[in-house]
Amino acid sequence: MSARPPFEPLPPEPMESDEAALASAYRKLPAAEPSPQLDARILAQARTAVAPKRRQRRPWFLGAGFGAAAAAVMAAGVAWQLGWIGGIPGAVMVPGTSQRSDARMQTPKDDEAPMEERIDIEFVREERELKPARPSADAAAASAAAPPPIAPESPQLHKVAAPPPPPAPASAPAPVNAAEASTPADVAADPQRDSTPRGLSMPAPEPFPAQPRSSADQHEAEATLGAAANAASAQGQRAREQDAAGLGLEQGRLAKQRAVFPPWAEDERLAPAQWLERIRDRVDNGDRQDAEFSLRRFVQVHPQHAVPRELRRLLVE
Amino acid sequence: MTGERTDEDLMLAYADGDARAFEALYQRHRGPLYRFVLRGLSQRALADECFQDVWSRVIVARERYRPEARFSTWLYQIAHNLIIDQYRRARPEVSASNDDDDDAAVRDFPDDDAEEPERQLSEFEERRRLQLALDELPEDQRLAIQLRLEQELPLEEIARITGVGRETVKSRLRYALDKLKSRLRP
Repeated sequence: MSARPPFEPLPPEPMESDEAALASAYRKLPAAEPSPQLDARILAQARTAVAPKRRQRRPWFLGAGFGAAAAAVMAAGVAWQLGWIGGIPGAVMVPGTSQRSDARMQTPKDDEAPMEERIDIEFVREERELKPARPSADAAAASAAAPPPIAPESPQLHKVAAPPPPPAPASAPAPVNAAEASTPADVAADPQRDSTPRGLSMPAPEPFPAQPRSSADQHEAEATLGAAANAASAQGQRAREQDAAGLGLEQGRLAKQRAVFPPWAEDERLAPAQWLERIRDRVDNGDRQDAEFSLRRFVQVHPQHAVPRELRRLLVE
Repeated sequence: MTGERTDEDLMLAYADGDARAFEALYQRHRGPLYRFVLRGLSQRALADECFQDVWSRVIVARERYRPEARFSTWLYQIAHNLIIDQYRRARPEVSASNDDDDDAAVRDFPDDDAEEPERQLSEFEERRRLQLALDELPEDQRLAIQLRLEQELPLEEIARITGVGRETVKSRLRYALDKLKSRLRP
């Protein structure tokens, strides 16, 4: 990298005598220099900028492998469910979940039709909510591992699809623990439950970040149908809904965070002030990586524009 | 070997990931650039911030850097723009009175009544007057004369850095020189 620059060097312009005298006096002014700390900060920033990138600052990105495995397990769970619907015997029992699934099956005490509706609710909502969180490669791997895909175009899914409108979020999610309200004694009291194929209500394992939401939604569907079947349980359901309200709000906030901001590359279309505001919003929402990318792009596009002090740390990190 | 390389070569090497090239570049420009910024802003805290901001922008823009002009021109362009921006954002703060303690970094002269030999006193007095005279110049004239006196840059390059025509630079320098000379006259 020693190519000569293509510009023409400007010829030196000798100073006139009065300029030279002033320049001589000027050079005698105190020769201030940057502090060692300032030097260190700048050099560290320079080194960091060209250092090999260590990917994944966010912990849950670190778990990409875990996410892939979880997606595969989820797909297996879905396949199990579909296999049961189609009359195919269920696959492998996941240890430690039988009691929980039995408990869920006990809750509605319904006939077949509501069961199908419940399954459908689960599929539709999971498909919608997991889509952004699951890498495409993972999805491909999951679909390869599990022949019955959860995509909406799946014929098996259409077969059972009679989707009732999903309940409003405010009245929705029952807490995860609510489904486990059924005690071991309840489970033991009905031996037939153990012979029931577990695939139907087996909670489909999901990628790590989506699991609580999906579980809550599943319980939401169950709770809704249960309430329709048994008015006496409505009060208890409301209590569970209130318990889950915090969880639901948090999930709503996360979903909003993903939904509100377009890709950082599109921030460039904004006016400088709005762009900086967008970067602040990203920071406020914990989206520091995109905020950093956006800010670096901002500095490139508007090198003359000052970066607010509170955002400068993004460039240093 | 990096000491013999041009600024432009070093910057391109840095863009390719050579952190040592940046260090060489930084060592070459840190002092003059810092003085330019400090004398432009007159407050060490502001100058530190601005100085770091200049280098941050160099770092961030490294991959877009093309040696179509001297690296120093680009560097001082960034610094100039940031100083002007600082003037606009915090004019009252920047043009605070000369009694501001922060200015001590710039005008670090002994008191007039200090017991110094007459010659030294005269030199100190001259520098003090020069600093005060520089502070009194309009911003555009001050930045132009700084680039001329400290860097000895040709007018054409000062014009590129400050974003004005050569004749404008010439005019600013002329006004600035006249004011400084009159201020320094005993």
